[in-house]
Amino acid sequence: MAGLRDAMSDLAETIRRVFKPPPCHGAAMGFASLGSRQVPPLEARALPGFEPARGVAVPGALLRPAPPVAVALAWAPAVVAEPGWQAWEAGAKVTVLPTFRAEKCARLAVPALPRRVETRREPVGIAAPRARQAWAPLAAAAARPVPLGLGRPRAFRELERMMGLPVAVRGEDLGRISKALWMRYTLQMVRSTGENIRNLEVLGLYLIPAKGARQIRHDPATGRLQVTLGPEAIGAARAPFMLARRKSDAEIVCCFVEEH
Amino acid sequence: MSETLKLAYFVAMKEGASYLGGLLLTDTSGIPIDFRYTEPITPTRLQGVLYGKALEPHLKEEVIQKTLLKELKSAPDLFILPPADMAGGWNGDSKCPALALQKTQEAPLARVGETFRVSPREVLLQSVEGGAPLRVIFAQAVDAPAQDLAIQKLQEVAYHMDPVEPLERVYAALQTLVRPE
Repeated sequence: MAGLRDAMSDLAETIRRVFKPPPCHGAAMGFASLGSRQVPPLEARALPGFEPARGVAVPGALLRPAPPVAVALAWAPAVVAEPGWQAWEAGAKVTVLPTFRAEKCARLAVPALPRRVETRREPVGIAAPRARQAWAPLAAAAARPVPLGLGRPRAFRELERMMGLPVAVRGEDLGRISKALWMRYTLQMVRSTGENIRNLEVLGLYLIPAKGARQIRHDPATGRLQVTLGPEAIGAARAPFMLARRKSDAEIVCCFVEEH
Repeated sequence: MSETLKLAYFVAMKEGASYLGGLLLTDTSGIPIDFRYTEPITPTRLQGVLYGKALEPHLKEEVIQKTLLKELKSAPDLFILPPADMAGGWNGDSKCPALALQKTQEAPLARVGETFRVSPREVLLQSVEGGAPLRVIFAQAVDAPAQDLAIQKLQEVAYHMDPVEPLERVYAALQTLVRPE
């Protein structure tokens, strides 16, 4: 009976092993990482040299032929037997098989087949090579403010310098002057210059500062008066200034035609 | 004749590596009322590189012009620039109409004081009898009503003086400042 139980146990073990999930072994799929190693520099090692051949003096007797060897063989007779046969005949046993009979039986649970096979996950990607840092990191640069604003320049006042430059004064439109005013102006011209009005050719009437006119030049091409002023002209009132040419000798005469 | 009109003539020029500017205030006869100028400003090489093409407009419009206008006791009626500065796109804030005056070779208009609008920012003005008209170029910030008002003032001014000539005086004065004899 015990033998049957052992047999059933063996059968159960056999079934369990047959239906167990197949073994899953991890395979080294990843690439070996490329480590950076320092290769030791090659070095030459000094080894001892070969022993120099040495000559040995051999006596002349060794060169002669060897003498024949005499071997003595001796034979010793003896009786031998095999005891195994006797032991086999005496120790043989007859095996008696037990008869079958009804026994309680147990139901063996057959293990279920695995639903899914376990897979082993291994990183397949190529291992990133490790970079060897060869340079020391640069130190952070210090930022320095640079004055970029264009500051306000100082301003200077120099009206005298500008007064020294000749001012081009355009003549008044004589056609827009009333006849009465024109007569008054010409009368003043005659009084100031002492010339006969018929001997004068009026070149123009200009409004210039009543004071400070230092130099006056008439430009016949444009009819303008180039007046160079002095500092006294700053703030001075404007007064009508008449310019005329004497017909007799082409001389230029001029005067302010209004009292100021 | 109105004595209240004041014309401001502004010139900013480059002399060597420096910039300086002058502002001449005249009456309607062209007689100087005030003249201010700045000391020369010399940008550093680093400023020149970092400002790039914006350096010159910035110096003229923001630094020199504002400094000079701040010095004036009263605001002018017209702010007159060289035509080259106006052509470069003047963006200065002068609180009065900014314009440029340019002599032309155009045929004279019918009578003195007559105007002809060439474009939204350009007007031809007949300033003298029989001569070529003046080209008036307004800054972009000057709208149409302000342009009309400025033209009226120019007509009045042109009767007494050559409105372009004072710019030459400012140039000459600045030249004497940077190149003293």
